Amino acid sequence: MNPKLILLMAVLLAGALSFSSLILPGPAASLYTAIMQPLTLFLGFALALRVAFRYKKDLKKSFLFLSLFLLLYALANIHILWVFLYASLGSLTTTIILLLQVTDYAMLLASCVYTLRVIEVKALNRYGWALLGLVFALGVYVVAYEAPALESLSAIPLVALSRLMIRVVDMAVVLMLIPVLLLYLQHSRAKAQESVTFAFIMGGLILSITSTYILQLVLGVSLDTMAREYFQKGSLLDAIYIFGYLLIAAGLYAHSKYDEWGFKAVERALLG
Amino acid sequence: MEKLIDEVWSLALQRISKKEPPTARPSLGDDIDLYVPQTRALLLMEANPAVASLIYHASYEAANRNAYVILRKLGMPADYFWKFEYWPQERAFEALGKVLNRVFAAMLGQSKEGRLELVEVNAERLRFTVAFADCAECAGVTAGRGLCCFHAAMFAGIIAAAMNKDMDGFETACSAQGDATCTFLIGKRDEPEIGVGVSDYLAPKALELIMADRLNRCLQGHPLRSLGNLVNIGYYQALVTNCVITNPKLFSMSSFNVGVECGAKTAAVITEFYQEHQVEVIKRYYGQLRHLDVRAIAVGDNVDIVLGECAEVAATLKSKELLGFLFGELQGLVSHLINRRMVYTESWFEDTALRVRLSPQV
Repeated sequence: MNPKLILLMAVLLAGALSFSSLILPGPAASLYTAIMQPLTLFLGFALALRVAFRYKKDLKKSFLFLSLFLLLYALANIHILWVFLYASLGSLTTTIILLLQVTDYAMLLASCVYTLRVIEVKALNRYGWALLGLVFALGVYVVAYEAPALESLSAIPLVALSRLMIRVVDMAVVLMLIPVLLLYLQHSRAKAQESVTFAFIMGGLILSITSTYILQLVLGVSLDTMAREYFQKGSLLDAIYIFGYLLIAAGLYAHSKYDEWGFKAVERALLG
Repeated sequence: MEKLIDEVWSLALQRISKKEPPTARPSLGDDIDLYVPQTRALLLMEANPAVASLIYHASYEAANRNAYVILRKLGMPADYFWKFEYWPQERAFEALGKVLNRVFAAMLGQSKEGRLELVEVNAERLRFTVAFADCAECAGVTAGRGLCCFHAAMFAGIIAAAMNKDMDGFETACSAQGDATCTFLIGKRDEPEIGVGVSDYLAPKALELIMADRLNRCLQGHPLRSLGNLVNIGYYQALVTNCVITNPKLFSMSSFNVGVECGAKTAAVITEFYQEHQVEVIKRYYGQLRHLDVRAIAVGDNVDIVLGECAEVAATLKSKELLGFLFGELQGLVSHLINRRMVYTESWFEDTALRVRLSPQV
């Protein structure tokens, strides 16, 4: 089967699986999203690890760090684990969460740095650079949207600063990954094609990272409210998360099978 | 002319896709003796060593263009070899080897051009070594240098199309020099080592060929390689087209002059071999080579040669520019055989046949 057709089918399946979280009744939707989110991330971890060993040097490191990011992110998404840790360790859990977040973002940043070293950003055309400039402006707006006031910075500096840093890092990651998509779009009709599956993975990653902020801007609510009322409750945010994670997993799976599918396509064409 | 080359590639693809294309020549068949393409290219290179470079560049463009189209036609994604330089050695060798074997080695094997094999891959540097056993370009020929610039360019063009990169290649071993197989090193065009290698390989160098000896071996039917002494006419058509495509008129004229000389030398060999001194001997000669079907007709003082199933015009393109060498060869042959200086005056197509008029030199 044509790899692009398989990816299209994967998008439809991901859409159906994520839409399920919206149509299930309350408690079932919560349970569904609480299982699906870490599960799809674990799947992404295993696939990214597999893909990493199909490459060497910077590209291998990029996928290795991506797999570690997905693993830690999956752990962070196991709600029941954190409830249990709070019950047994108390306030120490906050430190663990903070450490996990820092490590997880370090993995993602490392993955992005290696990705940038592999892709040819210099090949972006002026429209690409213009779009990148727009995304940068949007990133600045997102960071400034819920910037902590001076009072909160002095009252609870660790929490306020870590939230600010997360927003900054999220936007930096998006800015680092956007060129992959732009290069793919730029070259999709040209001879020097970029990887469709790689663009797919990065697209899923960008969607997962930006969805919270986009929804926050649309709904006009704080991140605290979103975490309390929208996360693993069968909300639109949950559906987008599941969709994004499934896109990453589908992209990674297709990437790992690309040689096989491509050669089978040739065999089939030759056998008529 | 590009259309003719593209058609040759398309027919080669059809042959490996089990869609056997119709036979182009009902009685002579689709194969031709290796000697014919060899004389066309090598004698031109001997007369003008710069021809090697022209053949190389034309062949590279054609191979690159057609390999890209073929891979897309077969459903291989354009990003199949994405970031190849980051692939582990084993994966790189296996994936590229499978594609080369299944598609291009199969095409070349079917057309009896030779047996292509990927020998070595250095993915990180995008360096490839391919071996080409039983090479049609040089089988049975002895020379002091690598002769197979057509295939060097073809392999570089194919790999360049697969990698989506500008590549170049040159011959590191050639059967004509006594090596077991022809071997080619292909790498990125902007790499100094590749650039120097290609420049050196294509630099005009004097070439001394003993074609009379080669012709004798051809007529005696000495087996030259495991694939036999025949090759598909598609290869011949592509080679001839690549020889003249840069400047068809000019190269047709220079091919003509080389053909005249070749014809005179050929006449001496074939009269001795067939023990026949009449003009009709050319029918036996061209028939044995499976080049064309010839009929000589005396028209007053003129001699008309009617050529049927001519390998050069068997394809859709009936271009006289591809026939310069043949016209010259006929002039040289007939002049020598009838012992009277004849000159080519005109030619015209009569349905599928081509009529060539030779008139006494005034």
